Amino acid sequence: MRDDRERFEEAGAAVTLIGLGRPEQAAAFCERRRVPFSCLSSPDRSAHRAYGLRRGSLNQVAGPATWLPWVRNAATGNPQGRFGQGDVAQLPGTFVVDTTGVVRYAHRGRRSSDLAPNDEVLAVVSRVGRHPL
Amino acid sequence: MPSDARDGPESHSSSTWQGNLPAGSLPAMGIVEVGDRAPDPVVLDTRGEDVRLSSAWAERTAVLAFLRHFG
Repeated sequence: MRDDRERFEEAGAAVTLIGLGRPEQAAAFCERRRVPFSCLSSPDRSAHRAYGLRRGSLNQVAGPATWLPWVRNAATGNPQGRFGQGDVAQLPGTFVVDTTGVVRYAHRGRRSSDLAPNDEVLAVVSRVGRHPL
Repeated sequence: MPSDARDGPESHSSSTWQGNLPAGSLPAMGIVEVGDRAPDPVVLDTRGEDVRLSSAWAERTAVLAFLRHFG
């Protein structure tokens, strides 16, 4: 998403990341990676649960794409995941919400690497802009 | 609905969208679909302050990307 920041801005969208883990971890990550979006935390998973995002099975979350970031963070003294903050088994999701508070797009990942394609999200944002409620 | 044949029948993503919609209805507990009112839980900003998630869509269309952790 960071690579498509300008496209999201041109489409009139504001991107917000909601992660598990402590706020200071979110702050450190977003500052270190220069994330140009709003970064929020829901350490108790309440936000993820509110949007119907479940924890995945081992089959859904296993694989290097899932465990390597956790190992890397743990090695740098910033563990996030099941043994620190956050939850490595949490499945991802992306939602588009218009300014009236109505959900216009919903993507729930079926595995950890299953992220909403930026082009798909941008197409929805563009349509929301042309067809506001 | 797109599916990934390599991963089997339960591995396809769940993505939907709709254009013009009537005013959203409240979702069933934990089931948020297109057309529903977006849940508005309290989350924490990077300073640890409580923030309503609805602040994300107060002025602009919001793209909410839920992650498992930062990193």
